Amino acid sequence: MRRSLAIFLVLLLLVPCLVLIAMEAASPLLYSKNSSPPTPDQVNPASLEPLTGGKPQQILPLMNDLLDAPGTLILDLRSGDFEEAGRDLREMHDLTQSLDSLVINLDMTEGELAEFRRANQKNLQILTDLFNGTERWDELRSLEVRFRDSDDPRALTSITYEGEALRQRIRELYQEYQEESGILLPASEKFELDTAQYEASQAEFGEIVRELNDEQETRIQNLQTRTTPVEPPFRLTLEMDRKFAFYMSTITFQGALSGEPPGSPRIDLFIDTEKVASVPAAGGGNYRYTYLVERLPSGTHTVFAVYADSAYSGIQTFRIEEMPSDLSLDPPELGDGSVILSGRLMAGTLPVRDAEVEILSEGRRTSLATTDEQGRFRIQVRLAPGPHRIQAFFDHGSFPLSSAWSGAYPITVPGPSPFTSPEPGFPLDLPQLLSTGAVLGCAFLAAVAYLRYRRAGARSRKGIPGPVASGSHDLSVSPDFVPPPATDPGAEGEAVLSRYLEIAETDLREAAFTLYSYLRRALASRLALPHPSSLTPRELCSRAEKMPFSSRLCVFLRKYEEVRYGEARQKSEDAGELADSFYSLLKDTGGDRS
Amino acid sequence: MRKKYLGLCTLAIWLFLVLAFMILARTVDMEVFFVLWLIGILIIVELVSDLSATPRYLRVVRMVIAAGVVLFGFIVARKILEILQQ
Repeated sequence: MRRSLAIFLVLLLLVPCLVLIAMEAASPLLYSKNSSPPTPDQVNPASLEPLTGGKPQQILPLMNDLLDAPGTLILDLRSGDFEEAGRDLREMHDLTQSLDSLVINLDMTEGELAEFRRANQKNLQILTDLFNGTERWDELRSLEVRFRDSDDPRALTSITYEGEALRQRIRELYQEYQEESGILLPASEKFELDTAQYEASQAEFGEIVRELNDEQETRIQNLQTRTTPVEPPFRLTLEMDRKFAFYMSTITFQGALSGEPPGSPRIDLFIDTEKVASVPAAGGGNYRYTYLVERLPSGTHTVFAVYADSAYSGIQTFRIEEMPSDLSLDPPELGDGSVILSGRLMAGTLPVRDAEVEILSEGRRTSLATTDEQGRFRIQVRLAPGPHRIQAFFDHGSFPLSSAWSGAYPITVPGPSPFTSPEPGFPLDLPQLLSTGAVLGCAFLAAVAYLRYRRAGARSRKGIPGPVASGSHDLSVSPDFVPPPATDPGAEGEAVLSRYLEIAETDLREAAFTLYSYLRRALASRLALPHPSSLTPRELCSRAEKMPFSSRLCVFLRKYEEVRYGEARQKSEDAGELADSFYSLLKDTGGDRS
Repeated sequence: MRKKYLGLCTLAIWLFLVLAFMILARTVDMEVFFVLWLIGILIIVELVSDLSATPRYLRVVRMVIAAGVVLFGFIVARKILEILQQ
């Protein structure tokens, strides 16, 4: 009954196990966006919009912090506390990274959240540039005071020019910030986030731009009043052939240096206060430089020319327009634990050279490829065995191009075979083979040790005799087990009694034990008692209480205890009583057939 | 109930629970399932085994465990190779 119940229970659990495994084997993903629920009453959680469910609850506080971060940062920049602003910027950077990893981990790369994330990344870039720009502006302010005191018109001119370039740049940043707000604020409202602080930051940013503008105007006026009375020895002019340019187009800067400079003069050209070329002035002081627009971000830029820090040209501005870029990814070539990816980055019909293309697997960057002269890239990426979703991404960075995503390829990287070598010259990869062999060897030794340890453990328990008697046909008996005597029980009982009588003359206690040992062994065999040698007389008495001879057995055992453990007695009547009691029991325990 | 059937029932319940939790967590991994089976059967055999006698079915189970340990070693070797290749 119990056995059948156990089998029934096992089957009851086994059948659901097999059914569940079978369901899993047919479709490894229980819920994916593509799988439809088996019945109309069920809902596929993977296909639900990311805005619902528990995921946004984890991400909303982070988004709130990110919305508040620019407000504090811009306020610090306006008050000139760059130390605190630097801390705010680092904090915002960390928060952005947390958001990125959380979005990827929660697989929420679509919809408004993706827009929020992209706009936030752009904002971080804008605020970093604003931080650098305002910090430099502060330095220029200190330098201006120093050079004004020392009455150095050349240095003041240099500061004014750099200030002008910075003003242009910060204006540009403000425009970009406004554009990103147009994306960030509607996305935040969808998540019902508090945008008050972010909106205040826009106003603060506008104030910074206005203040810098006023300051720069004052600086220019001061420069004019200070330098105009003195006629400079040299004059430098700057012109350009176009005011608008695109990626890989050229702008020609030209001008003339008058005032008969000594030797062969060189004219330095600065774009956004960064020196881009040093051009020799030909006869008559004319110079010309053709600039190729390649790594210059889209937007308005300033340019001016300088001769030997003494003559400055006027500041000119030009604009670089953004061009759309196109990133294509060829079908991946699969290898053992790796995949070869190739593709091309184009800007219209022009290849984009020396650009870095990120290779993403499940939205995480796995490697970085660089394009060649033809805009092509090819890279071998090592990936963990299993399914992956591969995509390439081009972040425009310093290029006047838009960022671009390639199409995504779902791939499954096969698991590495321990006996294949990545190099065809060698039949086996030695370190891999050695490590595999070592681990397998250890596992084999562990298995052997397990089996041997079990046997040794059984041998070590030599002193504990006695098998589990029930169902002995089903057991393999330990080799150290000493079986009970299988000789004729009647004859053996007589022999035990004779031996008892012999020993009783000298040592009654030891003699009584021989009787007890025999009875205990015989009863254990008859009643299927495990470990008979561990049974005490009273345990034996209680175990045999259902037997017809239990009362006589208990009388014998009580007598045995008196003789064995009582005060020293050598009375012949005790020996006789014990022998009589034992003799009467022999008949019932199958020991005597007479 | 005899130890043999008690052990069998316990192992079945253990595997059922493991599988149920794996499915609930949507991460059914046969390697993890195998390792948990091995741990379960090791504990159950230790509890079921007798001091002085080894039933025949336990000898067979111990051979199965030894084979499982070797297979476990193979899984570990594979994991090491994956890490080395990364």
